[in-house]
Amino acid sequence: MDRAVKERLKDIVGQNGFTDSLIDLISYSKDASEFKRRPDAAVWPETTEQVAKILEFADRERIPVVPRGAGTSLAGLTIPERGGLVMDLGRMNRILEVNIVDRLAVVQPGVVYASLDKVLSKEGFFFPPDPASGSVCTLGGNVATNAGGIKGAKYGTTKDYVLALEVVLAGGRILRTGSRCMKSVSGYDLTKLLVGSEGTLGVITEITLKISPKPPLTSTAMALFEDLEDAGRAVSDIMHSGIIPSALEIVDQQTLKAINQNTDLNLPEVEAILVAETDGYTREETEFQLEKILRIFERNKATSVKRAADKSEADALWTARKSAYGVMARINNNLFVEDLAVPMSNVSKMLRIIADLAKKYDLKIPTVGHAGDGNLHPVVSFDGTNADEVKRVEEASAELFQKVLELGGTLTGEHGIGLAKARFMNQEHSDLSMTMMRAIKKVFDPNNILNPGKMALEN
Amino acid sequence: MKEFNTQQVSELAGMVGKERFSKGQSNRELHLHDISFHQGMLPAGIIWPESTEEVADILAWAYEQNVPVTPWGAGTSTEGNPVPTMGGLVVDMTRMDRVIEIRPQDLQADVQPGVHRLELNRQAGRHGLFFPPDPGADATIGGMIANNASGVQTVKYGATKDYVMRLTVVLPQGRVIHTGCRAPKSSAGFDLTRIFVGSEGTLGIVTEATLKLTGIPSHYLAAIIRFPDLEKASEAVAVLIGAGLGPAALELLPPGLIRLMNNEKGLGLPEVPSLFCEFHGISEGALKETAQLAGKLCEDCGAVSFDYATEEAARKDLWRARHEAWETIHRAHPGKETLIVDAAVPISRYPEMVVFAQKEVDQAQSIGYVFGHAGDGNLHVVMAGDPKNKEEWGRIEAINQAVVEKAIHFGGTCTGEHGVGIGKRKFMAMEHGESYELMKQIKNLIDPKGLMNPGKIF
Repeated sequence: MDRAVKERLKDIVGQNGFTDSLIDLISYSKDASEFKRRPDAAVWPETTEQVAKILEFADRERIPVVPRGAGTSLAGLTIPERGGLVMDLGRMNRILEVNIVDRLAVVQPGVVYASLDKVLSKEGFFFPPDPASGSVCTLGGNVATNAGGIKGAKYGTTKDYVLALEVVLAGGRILRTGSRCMKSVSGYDLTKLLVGSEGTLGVITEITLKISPKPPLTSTAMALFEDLEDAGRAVSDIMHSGIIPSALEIVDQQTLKAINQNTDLNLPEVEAILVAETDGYTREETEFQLEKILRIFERNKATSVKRAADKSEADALWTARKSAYGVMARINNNLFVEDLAVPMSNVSKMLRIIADLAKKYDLKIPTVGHAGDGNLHPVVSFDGTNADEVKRVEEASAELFQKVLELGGTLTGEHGIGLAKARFMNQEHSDLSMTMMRAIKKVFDPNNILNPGKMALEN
Repeated sequence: MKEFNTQQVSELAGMVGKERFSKGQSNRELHLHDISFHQGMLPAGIIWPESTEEVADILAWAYEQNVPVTPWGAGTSTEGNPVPTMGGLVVDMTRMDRVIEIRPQDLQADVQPGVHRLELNRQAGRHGLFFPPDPGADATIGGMIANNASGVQTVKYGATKDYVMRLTVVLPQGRVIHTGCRAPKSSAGFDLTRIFVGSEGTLGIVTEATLKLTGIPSHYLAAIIRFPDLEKASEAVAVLIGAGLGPAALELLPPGLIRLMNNEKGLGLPEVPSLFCEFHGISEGALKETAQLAGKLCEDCGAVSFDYATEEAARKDLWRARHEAWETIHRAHPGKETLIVDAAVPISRYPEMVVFAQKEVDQAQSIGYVFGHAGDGNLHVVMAGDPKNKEEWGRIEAINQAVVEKAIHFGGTCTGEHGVGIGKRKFMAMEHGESYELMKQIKNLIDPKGLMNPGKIF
């Protein structure tokens, strides 16, 4: 990037809004994935107008621009794959409006999930997607990834909550999509097209989110299953029973073994543990739902069912699920948190397939997941310096996703495609779908300056 | 395009067989109107495909021949959405009317577009499941997807878009695209499914859909809450929603409309501003608790009475009457057409909108009924008049314009659930600005010749 370009960028955002220092560029070369690539410079815009000016200039100069939130992406969404400019939206971090009567919040993209949550919880409300990285990730990133989390089965994912967006397109055009209404059928749903587009269509500069009243009470239970299929059937039965748990998580045997090897928790190494949580406004409501779940656990041959009497007991029941990632990180020096989703009746089948693949390729693939919405996270831990093992990981991934797609599933339930899964896109989406996505990309970003190299949108 | 030539007729009949193509006058007239006043152009012929392949052949042929194509479901639209505006070919999807498979363990159904909503729910009901979007009319699923239909239960259950997981769509030139997947969530690439939902047949024809189903609630409670005036009733709406009670329906009805319903159906309801409200829950106890809280909140807002019932029969009568509101208005004003405002606003603006709309109707001395799916801020004004009477219809149009402008000014929309169709096109640029240009670009991308349901949205 030559000096004149850098000077022009400084003109737009000021000295304080620009950096090309090595330490910053190294920071921006990584996210939470295994990928890295250094950008040429980074900017911290503070207004929509600055974003528009940068995108107008970058489009003219054909400079790649990679919008970035907190850099928590697990699929390389924020890696500057073609160098160029990282646009860190962290300074656009104001909560512009919280409107309880209208059930909405208007925020800038750099607001951290937890900051909004804090403000909303004072009012008894919440923005439900609740990604695991909520304490640090930004709402702009949530929208770009269509992030989800532990509450997905009951409350859906980010896309279900985005009412309106302000977006700057390559070339600097400012677009407003959607409305402040709970429903609208006025033309094509551009908002939903932008949610999950991973920064490839535009830079989100303002988000209007639907918020929900937060049920203050929860009840929790945990069940052990000697047989994976019984656990799978219990998941289907629960989701079919007329109540929807606010969380329904599964932990597999490999994970339990990994936890036991690294902690003194001494968990029973059964084929699967299910943890269920119900929520509501009255104790009667949460317990009524939990009772139903307990009966379903028992009917499906759970060998042990525990029910939390209070908050500390509930926390104890969550230990197995919540300690999983930390423990897995200790198994080896590299770690892929995979992310797939299948129809929920296939959860146990999928877990069986993962266990078989681990055996076949001689890998450790402990798996946890949001069973209630069919979203599983196989965690592949391996030694990145062992070429043979890396190769086995790649082969296992390819086979894994082939099986996922055979079961009617998807490459990613909540982490996005980014760099990590670009090579599989064409397996999930037909040639025609890919052609259409690429054509839509061209409409929004004809010169391919926005987050280029992601989602297999080139070719 | 007014008539097909003999060559075209024989090619069309050749694609599907003679019995499934018609250029008979009566069939053409049957496919000229939905329930709105909008005037179209008589289609040159009607074709009834029975498979995705046939639809693909038809659209490939139409593209080659430059024939405009208008897809048709049940014809229950209210904005001229399926009314052919350039003649051409109407593709009637009602013979593709099978529920292909229900997978209760996945809470999913695969359906063809011509299956009717009530039929799907009859079959899903055997598994304790239902497809919640509820536009009142027994629309086809294809039509509901095209319009992103919703209705009285949307305040709790969402609109059609929230239930569409997967689509097979035939695009112009007969290209067949599959979007979405059967997993409950996905972040894999652009959400093409939701570009097609609500696109009103302007991008292609849906030939198969995978829908999400949900469990039928075990307990219901219906309530009627009465108020001294419309403003207090609509204020109570904002309070009930804000309190997080999660009603499954929350409808505002004015005295004039209740009077018509009483006259027609002998309901004997007091003719005062009322909220029809419904709660769905897991037990009768929980529902009664909710009802008591709702009753208290309404009392604070000035409600004069709060009656509730959990019996099935009373509840069904009430909702049937509400569902038939439009027909009731239509029948009460024989010889008149109706223009329906379908604006939606953020709930805090709802009271103001209701009062404004009622005042507009009163001042213009027009025939108009202000009601709506209050719980999600959706306001209907059904106005009756004679389109040929320029003065009378002009007053109605002016009210429409004023209400929509105000809604958009409040951050709302010109159409909450009926779609843009023919009637709302004039508001699109005002509502969407630059985004409308993007929509046009997407339309051009997929349908460069502009043959798919021309004259709608754009």
